[in-house]
Amino acid sequence: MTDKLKIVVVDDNTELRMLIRLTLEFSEHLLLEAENADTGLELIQQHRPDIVLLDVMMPGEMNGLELCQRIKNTAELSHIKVIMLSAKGQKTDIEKGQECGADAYVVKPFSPTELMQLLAIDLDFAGT
Amino acid sequence: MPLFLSRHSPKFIALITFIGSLSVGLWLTQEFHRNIELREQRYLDQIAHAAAASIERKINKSVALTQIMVSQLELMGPEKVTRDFETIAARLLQDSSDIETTLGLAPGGILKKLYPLTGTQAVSGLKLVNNDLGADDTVWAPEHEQLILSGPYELLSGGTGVVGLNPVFLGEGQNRYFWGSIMMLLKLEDIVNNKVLNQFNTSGLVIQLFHIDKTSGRSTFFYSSDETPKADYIDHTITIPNGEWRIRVFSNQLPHSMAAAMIWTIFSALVLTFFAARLAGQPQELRLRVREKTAQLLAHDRFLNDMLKSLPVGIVVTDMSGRVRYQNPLFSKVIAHRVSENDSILDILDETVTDRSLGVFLGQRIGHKAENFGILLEMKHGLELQVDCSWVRTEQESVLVWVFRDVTEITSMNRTLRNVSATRADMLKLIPDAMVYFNKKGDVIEVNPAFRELFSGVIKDMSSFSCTEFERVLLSHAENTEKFTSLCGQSLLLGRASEMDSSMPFSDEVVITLDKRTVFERTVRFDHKSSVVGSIMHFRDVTASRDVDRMKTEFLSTAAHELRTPMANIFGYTELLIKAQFDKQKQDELLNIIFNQTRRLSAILDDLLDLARIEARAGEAFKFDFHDVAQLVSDSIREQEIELSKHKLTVSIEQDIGQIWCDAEKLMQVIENILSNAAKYSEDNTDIELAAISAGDGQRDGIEIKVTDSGAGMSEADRNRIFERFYRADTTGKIPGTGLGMSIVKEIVSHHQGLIDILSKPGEGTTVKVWIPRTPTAKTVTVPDNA
Repeated sequence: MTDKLKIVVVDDNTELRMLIRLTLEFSEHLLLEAENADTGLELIQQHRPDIVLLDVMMPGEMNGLELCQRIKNTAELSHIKVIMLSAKGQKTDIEKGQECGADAYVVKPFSPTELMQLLAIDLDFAGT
Repeated sequence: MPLFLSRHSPKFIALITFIGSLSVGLWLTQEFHRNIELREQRYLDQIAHAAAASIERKINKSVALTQIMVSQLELMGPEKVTRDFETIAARLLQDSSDIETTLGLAPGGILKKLYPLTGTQAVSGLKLVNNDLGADDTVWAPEHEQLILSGPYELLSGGTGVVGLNPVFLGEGQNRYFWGSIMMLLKLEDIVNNKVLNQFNTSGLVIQLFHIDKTSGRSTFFYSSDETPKADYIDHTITIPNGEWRIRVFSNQLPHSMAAAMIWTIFSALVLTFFAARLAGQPQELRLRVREKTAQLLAHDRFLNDMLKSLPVGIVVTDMSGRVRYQNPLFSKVIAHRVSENDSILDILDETVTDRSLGVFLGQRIGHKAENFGILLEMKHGLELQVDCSWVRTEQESVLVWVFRDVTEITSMNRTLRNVSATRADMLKLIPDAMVYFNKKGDVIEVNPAFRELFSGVIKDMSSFSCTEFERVLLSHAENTEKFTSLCGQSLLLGRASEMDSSMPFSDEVVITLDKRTVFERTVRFDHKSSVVGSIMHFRDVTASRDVDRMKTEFLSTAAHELRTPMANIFGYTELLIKAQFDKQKQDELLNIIFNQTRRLSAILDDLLDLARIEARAGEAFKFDFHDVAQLVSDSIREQEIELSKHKLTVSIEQDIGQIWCDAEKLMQVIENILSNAAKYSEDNTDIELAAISAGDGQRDGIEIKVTDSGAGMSEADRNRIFERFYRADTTGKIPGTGLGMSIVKEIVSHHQGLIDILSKPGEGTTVKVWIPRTPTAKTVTVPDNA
C-alpha cells in the first residue's frame, strides 16, 4: 500500500464532514476536520496535509475560495492538492475555483467513492 | 398755365413760338445792325477823311518843297546847277529831311508818264526823244511844260511820280539846255504804307486809293487791300496839284457779324421753341396719365369684381339694417338659400342656421351699428360657416360686408388635431419612459415629466438645452459608449432608426447610469417625405427589471446551493450504505441523517413554493375576509405546539380585539413563522411572549401582534439581512430552517398593506412586531374572478 496521506476537510456542514470521515475510514489515510476557513488554515499550516477538501460557502471571515488562494500563494503550502467541494455548480463558480488555483472542483451532490477515485485513494469496503 | 396753351397741341405751340421768336430776333438784329452801320459809317468817314487829309498834306508838303527847290535851282542858274548839281541836291535833300523820300520832283510836280531807268542811266532830251521809249512824250513834255520823267530810280506802279536825280536836258549840242532837275518823288508805296493806312489794314478795314481821270472818268487804282466793290463805302477826295485822287474806305466785317447774329437768333428761337413745346406738352401728358390711371382703375375694378365672383367664400354686402345690396355667386350656394336684393340677411340666417338664437344675436350686433365681429354658424344643411362681418364706411354711406367661409373641414380637422394633441400630451405625461423631442436642427422641443425627473440631476435648464450638450451629458454617463451614435448634426439627417420599431431590443442600445439608476437609450427619428422633421430620444428606466434579473439569478444560485447541500448528504450516505457494511447502530445513525436531510429538503421546497406562489400572483390568490384575531392567534399557537413545547409561552390578547380583514391561512403562517424563529433562536425554558392589541398607525385602525423572546438576539447587520432569502442567523447548522421564513412573512404582511418591525440586540432577545390594518384597503379588496 501507499504511504499514509494526510487529508484535511473544511466544511461547515457537520453531516458532510462526517460523510468524508466515514468514507475515509475504509482507507488507511488520516483525516483532519475544520468547520470554517480560519480554523482550516491553522490546521493546514500546522499539519501540512497532502490534500485539502474545501467547501466554498462557509460562515466566517474567509470563504473556501479565499482559503484556496491563500494555500496556493504560500510557497510551502502551494504543493497541496486542493479540491473544491461546492453546492454552487454554475459555470462562473467553477471558473472562480480555477482562478483561485484549485486542482479540482467537485459539485455537490457527489459520489464519495468517485471523489476518492479522483484522489487516487483506494477504498476497502470488504473490511479486511 | 394759360388757358389757350392747354387747348392746342404742343407742336402748334412750338411752331408759333419758333416763328414769333425768329421774327422778333431778326427785327432786333436788323435794328441793331442799322445802328452799327450808322456808327461804322461815321467811323469810316472819319478814317477816310483822316487818311485823305494825311496823304494830301504829305503830297502838298512834297509839292511845296519841290517848288521851293525848283525855284532855288532856277535862281542858281542852269550852269551852276549843272556844275554843282550833286552838292546842291544833297543840301536840298538834307534840308527836307522830314520828307520821306529822297527823290526829286519835276517842276510840274506830277509826272505824266514814267519810264523806268536803272542805275546811273541818264537820258538826254534828244535821246529821250529818239528813244523809242516815250519819244512822243519827250516832245510833248517841253511843249506842255509837263514832265515826263525818267530817272535812275525804279518807279512803282501807280506812283505819283518820279524824277530822276540826274538833270534833264533838252535839245542837242549848243541848243541843248537844262530843262530841270527833279529832286523829289512822292512814292505811292510810301503813301500807302504810311501809318494811317496801316491802321486801316490792321483794324480790318478795306482801303482803296485811286485816281479818276477827269476826262475819261476812268479810275486807276493805286492801292487796294480788297478790290471787291462794296455798297457801303466812304470816299474822300485828295486834291493834288495836277489832279485829284480818291480814297475809299469800307468794312468787310458787317456781313460776318450779321450772319453770326442770324445764327444766334435762329438758335435762340429754337431754344425758346423747345421750352415752349415742353411747357405746352405738360397738360397733354397729364391728360394721358389721367387716361392711363382711369384704365388702371377700371382694370382693378374688373379684377376685384372677378375676384369677388371667384373667391371660394360667400360675400354679401348689406346696408346697416341688413338689406342685401350685393352678393357674389357663391353666397347663395354656401348658405344653400336663394337670396335676392333687399332680402334681410337676418331673415335668411334665421331660416338657414340651426340655432335661431344666433339670428337674435346678430340682430343685436347690427342694431349696435357695431364694430367688426366674427361668429361660427352651424347651418341646417350640415356645414359650419365662419362669418366675419365688417363695417365699411364710405363717403356716401356705411355698409356691412359679410364673408361666409365654409370651415366644416377645418373645424373638424382642428378638433381632431386638438384631440390628437391632447392624447399625445397625456400619453407623454403617463409614459413612465423618459422622452425628449428634438426638431431637425437639434433644439429641444419638448420633454415629458419622466424625462424631467430622470435628468433633473444632470440638466440645469430643461426648457432649452441643445442636442450636442445633451449628448455630452449622456456620453459621460454611458456604459457602452461604442454603441452611441450622435443624433446631432449630420447623423440627424442620416438617422439611426428610420422608423419606430417596437421589437427593437433595448439591450442593443446605450446603457446609461444616472444616480444609481440604469437607463437604456434609444433614438427614433421622424421622417416626412424623406426629410427629417425631428427625432425622439427615448429612455427606459431598467433599474428595477435589472435588479429583478439579478435577484432571480442570485436566488436561483442560492436556492440551488441550499438544495444541493442536503442532497449531497443524502447522496453520499446512501452510497456508503449501499457499498459498505455497517453494524445496525451505524446503519440507523446514517439512515437518520438521510431522513433529516430529506425532511430539510422537503421543507425548503415547501417554503420556496410558498414564496414563489405569493410573489408570482402578487397576492391575488389571497382569500381576504374578516377573521377573528383571537382565533387566528390561538390556531397559530396550536400549529407550533411541538416547537414551543420547550419554552414558556405567555399569550395576551386584548379583550374583544375583534376581527381583522385578512387571509387567515397566510396570516397564521406569519404568526407561526415568527413563533418558530423565537423558539429556535432561544434557549429551552426561556420566555416567549405573544401579545395582540388594537393599534392605529395614525390614519388607519389596525391590530398589532408582537412576539418577544429572550434568546440569542442579533446584530444590526443580521437584522438588516433578515428578510433576504436563505439568509440564516445560525451558521452552525444546529438550528434547522430554510432561511425563507422571514421572507415569506414579509411578503404576506406587505400583501396585507401591513408593517413589520424588528427590535433586537445580541444576547438580549428579539421582538418582532407585525401590524395589519383592520379594514380593507384599495389593494386588499378581493379582486373579482373575472378580472
